[in-house]
Amino acid sequence: MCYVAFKPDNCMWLACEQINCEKSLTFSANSSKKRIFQSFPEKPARNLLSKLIKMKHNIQKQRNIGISAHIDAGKTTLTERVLFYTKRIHTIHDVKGKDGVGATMDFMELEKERGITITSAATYCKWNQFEINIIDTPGHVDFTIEVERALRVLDGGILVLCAVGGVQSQSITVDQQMSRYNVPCIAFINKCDRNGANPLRVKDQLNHKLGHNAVMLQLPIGLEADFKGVIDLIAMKAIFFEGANGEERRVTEIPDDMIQTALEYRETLIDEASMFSDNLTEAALEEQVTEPLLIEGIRNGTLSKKLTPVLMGSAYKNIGVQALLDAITQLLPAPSEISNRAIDYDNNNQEVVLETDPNRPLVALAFKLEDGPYGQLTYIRVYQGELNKGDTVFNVRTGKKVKIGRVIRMHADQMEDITKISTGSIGALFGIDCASGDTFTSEKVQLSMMSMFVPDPVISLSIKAKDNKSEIQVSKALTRFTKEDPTFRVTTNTETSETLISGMGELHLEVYVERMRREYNADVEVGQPLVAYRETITKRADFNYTHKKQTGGAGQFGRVAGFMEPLDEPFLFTNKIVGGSIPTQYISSCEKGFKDCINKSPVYEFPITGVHVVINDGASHSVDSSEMAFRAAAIGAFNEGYKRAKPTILEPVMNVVVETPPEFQGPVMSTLNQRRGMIVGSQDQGSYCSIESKVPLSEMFGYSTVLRSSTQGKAQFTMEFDSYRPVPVSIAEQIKKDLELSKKQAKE
Amino acid sequence: MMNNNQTDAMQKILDRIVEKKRQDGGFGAVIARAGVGKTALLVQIALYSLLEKKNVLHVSLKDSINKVCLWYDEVSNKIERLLRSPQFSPDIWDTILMHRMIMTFGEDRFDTKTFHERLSDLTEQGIFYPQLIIVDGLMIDGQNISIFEDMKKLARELNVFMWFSIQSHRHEVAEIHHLPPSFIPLKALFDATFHVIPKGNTIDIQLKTQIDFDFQPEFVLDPETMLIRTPTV
Repeated sequence: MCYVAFKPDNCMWLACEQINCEKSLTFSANSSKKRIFQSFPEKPARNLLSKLIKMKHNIQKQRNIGISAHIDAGKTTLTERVLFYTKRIHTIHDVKGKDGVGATMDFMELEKERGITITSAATYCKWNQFEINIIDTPGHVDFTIEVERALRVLDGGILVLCAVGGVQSQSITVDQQMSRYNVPCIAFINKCDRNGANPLRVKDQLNHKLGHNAVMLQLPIGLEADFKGVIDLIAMKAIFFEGANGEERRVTEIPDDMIQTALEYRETLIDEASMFSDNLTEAALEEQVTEPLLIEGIRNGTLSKKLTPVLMGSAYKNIGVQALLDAITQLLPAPSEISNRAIDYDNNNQEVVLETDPNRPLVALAFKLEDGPYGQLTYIRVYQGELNKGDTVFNVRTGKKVKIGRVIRMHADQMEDITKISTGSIGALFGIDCASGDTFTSEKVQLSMMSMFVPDPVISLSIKAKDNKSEIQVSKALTRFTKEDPTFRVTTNTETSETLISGMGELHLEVYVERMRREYNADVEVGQPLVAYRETITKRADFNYTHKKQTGGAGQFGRVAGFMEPLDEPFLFTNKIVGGSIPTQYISSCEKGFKDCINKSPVYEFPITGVHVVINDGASHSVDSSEMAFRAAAIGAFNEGYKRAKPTILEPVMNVVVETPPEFQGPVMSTLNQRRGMIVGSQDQGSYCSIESKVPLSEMFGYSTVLRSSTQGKAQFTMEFDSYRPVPVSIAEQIKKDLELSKKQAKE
Repeated sequence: MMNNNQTDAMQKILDRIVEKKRQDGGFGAVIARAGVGKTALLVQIALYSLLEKKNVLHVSLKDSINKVCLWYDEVSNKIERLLRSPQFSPDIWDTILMHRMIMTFGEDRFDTKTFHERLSDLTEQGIFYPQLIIVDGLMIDGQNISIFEDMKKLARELNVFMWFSIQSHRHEVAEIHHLPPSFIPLKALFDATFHVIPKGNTIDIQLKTQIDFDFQPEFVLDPETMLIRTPTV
């Protein structure tokens, strides 16, 4: 019997009982078979190894990558070119092309109409015998969960940057998301053909703004309208992209006038890469740097996230995309080179490292759900083992067994039936009932993949179906949307009986309402957007409340005393009861009572945050005290203390970044100022400037129209949640009045 | 460890320099070698003015807005560490942010005309009227002398005091007035200079100014935080 295991650091461990051998060996995709066999001379081990090496090399030739960037940096256009050059599609369609077809990855009607990506779409292609799974993600921060999900399951990323805009606000967010999931990335500076393109400045911004150690792998040949090709600093050749769609690569010597610059940049590249490879350092000292050695150094740096290789081109003009594909295969990690961890529920919730080994028990993560014409489609990433059609797997969350029916591979909205999803790969399943984030295992091992970060919604909208037929459709749509998107929530206002949908921004909710109309034929009325206000206390206050009901029937008695004070965390309960003034069995009832109050404040009725409740005294009755009595006493105590603790309303404040030509800086600042915005600063970028500010969300509704009219449509803005801040007194009064009015209207 | 009296003393000195010369478009400089802490000192100066609720415009020719914000966070934390008491409660910090504005330029793109235009955008729209301007990262060389002269005119026009960071070099041994030779032609424009001079294991801080004080101002650089303070009594 032989056992073998591949470790994430490329170390292979082998134990062969027959020959009583146990050895480990480090090898890479380039290690020769001979070298490996020398270390394992025994025949059974060799046979097994032979098979395994083939399998290992297959894993080594697999890439799971995501394309992320700021809005309009060209992610979808780049993906379209990637699919064309890898022969997955035979015609290029542009995002807002005149043919009206739209890019392959923007398959939703709404995406085509608006020219934006709303859902991340997965596809698969082959390049130089490498299998590449690609996920194209949206740029709008409203759909940030799509980026989170994609990065959660990807091994490498391409950070697309605009050669004119450089590192923009959303690039920073995407970069933070990549860091959160430890995803190594390469940067692609797109739009080098645009006026004002300056890839070298963008590379500097990568260092200064994002703290990367960016290093140029290419230099542009010409810029703006003269952008013709790139100089490859590894091979020291000039590459031009010719043919109707840039499909023919013409490799020539570097133009004479650029040789000196290219040599200088190559020198820097070798210096930086040699920090990650001793072999390269030695070769550099002996001035014998070879291409494979240089690539090894750059790759090591990239995988350790200490180096960011920078490539460039123009996806729209078909320049530089094939070189990017080469870089993906050469520099980004194979699934086996990434350390993926899961929580072992059987072993005190300890973290375990998963092995990209088809022979190990299956561990797979359902990272995205989509409701298609044939039922629920579950996107899944297999981290360990293999997932075959017909297998019975185990859903760790529900504890239920699930039989795998159809296994497919996605290509935008089209699908190909496959028989299995191999280890480290991404695919989709049909007809599986599960939730987003569920882990599947092949046996009853309690391993769960770590969850992804889900931000809380900041904006709500009331919706109402216009007729009975629509009501059923709306209900169906809401059930589906909440299942698909964890940032989309549905609640009901108990007083007004309104259905409220909550999400990450105006656009987010607008898209869902539109989808209800189009996909479900539901006629809905939409109310004014509502901001997700919260409340907190601003000072310490004591409470001492007695809940007493001792007239007739079973009595109720409980006294709870203590204090509440402001806190940085959402809620904390501390029990400082000594001497048993409240019996131990009722403490948890008190806590529950306080927690009940957090959901809805007794003053403005918003959820409460930032409260530390301490109980230090109380009283009980030997007969009339009960869990219910103490729960009621805690609620009374909270209401008493809360009103004394000077409560205040908190409102979501957004980080708003406006990019505008410099001549409109004044008017733009003025529009922000009028919206109670605090302007943090302005950053001069030459042809445009970006203004960073913090503005309450309630003031941002309809801002895009205002911005368009005050800048002749030349400015654009992005906004994302920053923090909750107290609202000014006058606004709080207005909110209170509005609340009372809506209650009154609901009663009528 | 610094105490509140020492911050008060620092604040008084800086305030006196600024208020005495603000109407004339006063200039101040923090002169130091690279890495000695010019930006931290400028931010410290800015924070003392912000605590006085003065509007401060921070112009950086080398850092992004986020990085400048981080400087403020870090220096304010250091001041609190030095004092071992919270100086910047959330309320005070909110007020500080309302009085602070950051402008960043690429070093190669900074010129007085553009700066004037940006500043006018702020003042004409009634968004921000600076009382103190911090300019970090403007290099001094033969070509930049006219920029400093133009900035002086601007400071006079707007009645603001401007603090600059001036980088000295190791090879420019401070022989002439202990100042970098490149700074000498500009010396007349400046009303006060803080010169940070490493001497062996210690770092000297020299304030040179024509402004009268009732006492002899003395400073030391706190080795732990690299912030300036008045000596321990």
